[in-house]
Amino acid sequence: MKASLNATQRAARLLGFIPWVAEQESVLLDDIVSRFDYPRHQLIADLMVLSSEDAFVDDDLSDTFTNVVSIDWLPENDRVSISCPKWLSDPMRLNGDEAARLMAVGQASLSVDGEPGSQSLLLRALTKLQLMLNDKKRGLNTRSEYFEYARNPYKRSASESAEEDFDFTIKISLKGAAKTILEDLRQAITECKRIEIEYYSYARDHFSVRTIDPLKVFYGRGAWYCGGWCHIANNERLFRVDRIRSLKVTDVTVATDHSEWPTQVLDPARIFDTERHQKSVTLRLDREVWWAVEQLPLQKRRELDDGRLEVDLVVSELPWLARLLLQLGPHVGLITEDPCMASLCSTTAESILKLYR
Amino acid sequence: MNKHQQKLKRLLNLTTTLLESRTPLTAKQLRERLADEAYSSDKSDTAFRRTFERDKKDLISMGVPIEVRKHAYSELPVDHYYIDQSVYAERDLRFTSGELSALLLAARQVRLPGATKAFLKTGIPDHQELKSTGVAEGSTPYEQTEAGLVVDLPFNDTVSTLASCAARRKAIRYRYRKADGSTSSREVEPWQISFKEGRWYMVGWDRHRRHERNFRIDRIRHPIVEIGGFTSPVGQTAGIQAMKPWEFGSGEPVEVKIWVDAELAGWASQKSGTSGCLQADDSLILKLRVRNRPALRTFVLSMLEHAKILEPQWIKDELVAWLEFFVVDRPSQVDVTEE
Repeated sequence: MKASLNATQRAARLLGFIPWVAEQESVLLDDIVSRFDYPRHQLIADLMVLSSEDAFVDDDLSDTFTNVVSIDWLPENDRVSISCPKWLSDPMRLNGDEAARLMAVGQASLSVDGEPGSQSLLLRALTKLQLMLNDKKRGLNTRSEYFEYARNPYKRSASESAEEDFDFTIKISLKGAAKTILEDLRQAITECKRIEIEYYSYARDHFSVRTIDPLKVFYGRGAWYCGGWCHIANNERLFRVDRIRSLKVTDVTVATDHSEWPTQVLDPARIFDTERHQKSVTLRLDREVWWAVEQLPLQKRRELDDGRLEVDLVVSELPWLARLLLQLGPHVGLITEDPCMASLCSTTAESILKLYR
Repeated sequence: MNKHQQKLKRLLNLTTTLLESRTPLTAKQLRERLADEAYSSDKSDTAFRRTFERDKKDLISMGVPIEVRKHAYSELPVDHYYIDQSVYAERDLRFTSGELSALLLAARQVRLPGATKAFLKTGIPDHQELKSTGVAEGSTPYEQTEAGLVVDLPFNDTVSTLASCAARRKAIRYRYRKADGSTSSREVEPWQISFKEGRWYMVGWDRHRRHERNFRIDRIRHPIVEIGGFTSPVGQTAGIQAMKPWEFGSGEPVEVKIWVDAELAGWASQKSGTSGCLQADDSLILKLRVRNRPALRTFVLSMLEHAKILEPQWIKDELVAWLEFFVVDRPSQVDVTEE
């Protein structure tokens, strides 16, 4: 819940809740507060300014809003009622940008899983969003009309009509981890079971067996992660699900109260925060390989006069850095005083070359 | 009334005045009609214009569909403002309470920039429906909780613009940056937008190259200019193909055979999207169709000494030469710290 809103945010909420309140006899003030995230003290102050009584006292013909929208707020029972013309009592239309964002949300949710029942409702909502995005004439009543109208013209066969074949403008795929591993993880979390995993650390190029109390599975930065308590590290850790080679759900039931934990492993936005970045290195990249650092957590980024890009990069483990340098080859320069780092590439390249000799 | 409430009232008055008016209005006419202190004749024209432009921008950011029309009464055309009632309100495509609940449930699982703002317009489900979604009494329906959040999805104005163009079948022109940093102008009929493996892509018909193409959206540069409509697809396939980085490019693909040891066999199979041929020692032989050799090299080297190229010999030789570059004396690659 926000502590306070500026005038624009409040205007958006007011225009949003007018149709909702208008279609009911009256609503509780606190329902508007919670449902529309409108701070109570601001809502009361705004209703006092906009309520019909004040407007009548002002008797100001230039005050179009209060002339056409009648807001009644009764402090005795904390209820609000609104009457307004038809053109303000219908919900506002979503524009293309808003429809696109909601469609992406719905598609992502479909890609995760979803109960079969709610999927059908979600598909219907997505179909309406597709029509809004198409920005064509409206006036369709039945569900079959929606699907018929919004049918993607690129569909191979006009006879296909199943909902799942419907082609939306926005598609989301959140694959990238073995389905069985994801399902086992979710089951373990639901049943509060400890798991044992065989895990490949990409950064260290090393396999280990871990015992974990899993807490949450989520998708962020292009991969599925599992956050939980690692009994080997005796600390909270994040694991990329696609690097779990095998998983066994044990019979051990774990405590469900994790309120004492730091929660940073549970937020997808903090994925990079929780990795153990111990070293910082400076790289100089030719223009053709600038792409390589686009999605890496950079501390600094400078474009040099000679057309190269200099970046300070946080590195958790040396094998990870070796891999990056080998991939970029002559297009990258490593600036270091550390002789161990300076020989990193040659020793790693040597060990790979042995495979070819 | 404090100055924030004055602004609130002014924004609401502007909206209702433009909605109520049967004809488009100029800024001057709006100034006369709205007896607002910030619009009063005591203020200079410049001060009024500044406030008006800011108000207009705020209303547009709220999703209020203000249209601008130019009418020439004298030599200079004058901007006239208008809100079409049929564009402002949704009459036909209203979500049912159940559909809204399904969308709200999705929004509580998925964090996407700017999505929750749309819920101010769609309204909210009735009490019974809301209860069935598990939204706690007294909480904002679309508010995400840490426990409920499952997906963090990036989204920006470029993705939104391209989705809108694809849905409305508008051809577009833009500059596209290739992996090597060079840029070129493209004219494309966009078909579909897709999120895969952490990135947004667009598939469409490239008019210059006369071929279907996949584009990484983070490499599409603004401005994106609409250059007219298109009516039917030219390409052979619909939807974004699940292409791997080494499959992008033109020309005939080369089949490359790669060996992966038992430790990374499962990982490599998942990353390459092929099951490969499992060997008796649990190692794996992958066969990939390759157009982009640098991308293949990146994939193979990502597995360090767990993988090697078996065939063809010339691609294998290329990789060996690439690696030998690192083991000969090469002072230029490591710039030992300079002043």
